Amino acid sequence: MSTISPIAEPQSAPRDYRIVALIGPPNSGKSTLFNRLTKLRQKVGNYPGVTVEQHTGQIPGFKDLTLIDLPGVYGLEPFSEDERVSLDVLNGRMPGQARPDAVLLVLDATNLTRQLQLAASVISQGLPTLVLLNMSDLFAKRGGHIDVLSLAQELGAPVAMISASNGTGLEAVDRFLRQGQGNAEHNANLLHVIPNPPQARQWAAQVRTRAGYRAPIPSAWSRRLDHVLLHKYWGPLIFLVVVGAVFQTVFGIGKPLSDAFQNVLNNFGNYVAGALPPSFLTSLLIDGIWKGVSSVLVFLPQILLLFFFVGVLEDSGYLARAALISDRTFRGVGLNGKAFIPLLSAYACAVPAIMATRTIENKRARFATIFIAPFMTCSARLPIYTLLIAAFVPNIPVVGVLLSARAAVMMSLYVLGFLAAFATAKLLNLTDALKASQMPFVLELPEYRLPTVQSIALRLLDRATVFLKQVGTVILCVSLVIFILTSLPLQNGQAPPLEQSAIATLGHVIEPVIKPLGFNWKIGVGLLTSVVAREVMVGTLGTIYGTDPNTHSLPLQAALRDDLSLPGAIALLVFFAFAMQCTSTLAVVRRETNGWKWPAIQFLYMSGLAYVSALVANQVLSLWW
Amino acid sequence: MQPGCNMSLARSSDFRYSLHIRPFQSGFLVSSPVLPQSASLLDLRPGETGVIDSLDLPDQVQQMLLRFGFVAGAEVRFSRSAPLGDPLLYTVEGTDVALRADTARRILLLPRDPADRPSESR
Repeated sequence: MSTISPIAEPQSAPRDYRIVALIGPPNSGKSTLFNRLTKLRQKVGNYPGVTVEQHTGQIPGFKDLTLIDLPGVYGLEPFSEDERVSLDVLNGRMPGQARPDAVLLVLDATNLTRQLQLAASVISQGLPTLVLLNMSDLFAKRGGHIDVLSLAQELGAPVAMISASNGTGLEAVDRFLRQGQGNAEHNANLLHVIPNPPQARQWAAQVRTRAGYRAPIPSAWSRRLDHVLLHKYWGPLIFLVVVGAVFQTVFGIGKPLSDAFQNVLNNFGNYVAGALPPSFLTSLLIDGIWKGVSSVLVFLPQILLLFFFVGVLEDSGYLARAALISDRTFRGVGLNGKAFIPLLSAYACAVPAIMATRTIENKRARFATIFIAPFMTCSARLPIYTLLIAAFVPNIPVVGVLLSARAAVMMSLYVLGFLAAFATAKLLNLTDALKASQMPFVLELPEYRLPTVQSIALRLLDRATVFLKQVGTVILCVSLVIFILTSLPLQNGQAPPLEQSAIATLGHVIEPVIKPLGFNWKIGVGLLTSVVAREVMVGTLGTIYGTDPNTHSLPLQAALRDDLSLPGAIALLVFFAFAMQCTSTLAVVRRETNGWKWPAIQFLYMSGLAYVSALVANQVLSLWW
Repeated sequence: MQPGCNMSLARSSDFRYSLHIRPFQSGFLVSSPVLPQSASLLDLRPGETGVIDSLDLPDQVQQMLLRFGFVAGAEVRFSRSAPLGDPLLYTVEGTDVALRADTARRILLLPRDPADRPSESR
């Protein structure tokens, strides 16, 4: 169990706190408090060897103080990784992280009944702890009552009522932090309470009575909303409408934003290229690095839009209901409702989606979700889809004005990805490739709340930073490598024409293998470069056809039409739908599954599926066309 | 004696008969002439409350459920089921928690005193 540090020897002089940990259950408003205390001075990192994110921040006015935002936990038992990490950090057992000097414990005042047990676990770690009862505004408004002083006596730690969203009561935090080691060491005599659940409950009940705790009346609004949103007929209907609306907006607004952003990035690149003298280094900088980096940046509008919606849905409390509604469907393929958010996010980008699977406690379901997430049609597939569809599908209406042939093909590709995901999940379920995990599906439904602008904005900033860091570093390296391959072997100190570069040689090497799919060596070069990132394909094709003296004046679409048959084009689309072409995804999967085994299996499976499907598509369709 | 009590005749070893009167227990118990089964969370109807007796689940799962308040002695109220019938929404110690039917089935309730029950006929 936990260990208590012995009462410290008297210090010669009170020292300020250097490291303070912030801990509390999910839905207690802890993040809101963290954001309020640190404003924008936050950093995201990782704890070594685990998939838990490390959030640290600085508090204005406390120069040497680092605030660690520990993951939301219900207790300190080593079940889930989050709780293990929290316990390790509090005990000073986390490598690379010094033991905190003090703890800020955030509890939901409206839900104290259950959360006192966490308080016992945390306080008994022996660190000076300030217990913060959050949501005091709601608590008071709904008729809750508690005697703060009595509670403090019972717990043996100072207690303060705060409202992180309003910013009230935070002077207590200030005072606590300023006092530093001047705070009295309290004796952690609560140790006896924790190991024994019935005893723990009894203790909690006693504390509640002695502190005069009266729970507030639950919000009537939540019940009323649930009556509609979880209604037998209206519930699923509203759910589908919400999902549809999210998609519509993300792609309806996101795409034009992306295109505009792309222009800005291109113009910037051209400007810099014009300003610098032509040289190998300039070429490296612009064609290599900037092209690669901007190909990632261009997706930022869509990703941010999607995360905005996910943020609003989550903060408002609706996402839990959505997980509830979708659980039944997911269960049929061996997943659970908590896979809903990750799989929805995967439509923007699989990288943050896979990171979002941490909320799934059931290990098996989590791995399955990670495994199928890349099948969801991510934004990176759109450029090549758009290019091929524009080149090969005539612009004719299918359902009048509502649906054109091109839109129909695009939609079918989305459906294809979705079906592949579910089929794969079913396959994993049947073969029981993953050992069955016992953890049941348990979901807490928070009360409905109005999301605040501040919390959403900070969340977006956080997610964007993570995305850019993750993807940026990988893509940067990869773009450099590709650039080098296209620039070698040097001819007279100059980069060779593309057909004679190293990468073209590789393309010729694989041509026999991809010929049955309807692809030639040029497409082969594109496939090689896009193994690392799908979006690179379009740029590579442009370069190949652009520099080919026979085609450099023709638009890329026409060039493709000459070089690729219709069955070949469809095979290429199918290939892109199924293939794993994203080193960033593989990197994240490696991190989240703590090993190379799963990324390797995923890569082989998806590549195999892509190859076979494209082969079948090309061969079968060639019989007609 | 209350209406609805079970009465049974027992024969003791010395061939004397005694009358046993048991207060009416079933209602949401699955009635069987031979063996009364324990009720589970699954047997609650919307709005009904039960008190947990025990959890027929592995230790690790029990520990996890403990977090959410599902522990022997806790009062649980069944709110509603999700639109497709599963999972089920319960309120325990002021929090709304959703569980799947398989899990709910294994959380056993104490038999209830008929005086507590809202009046309705089964």
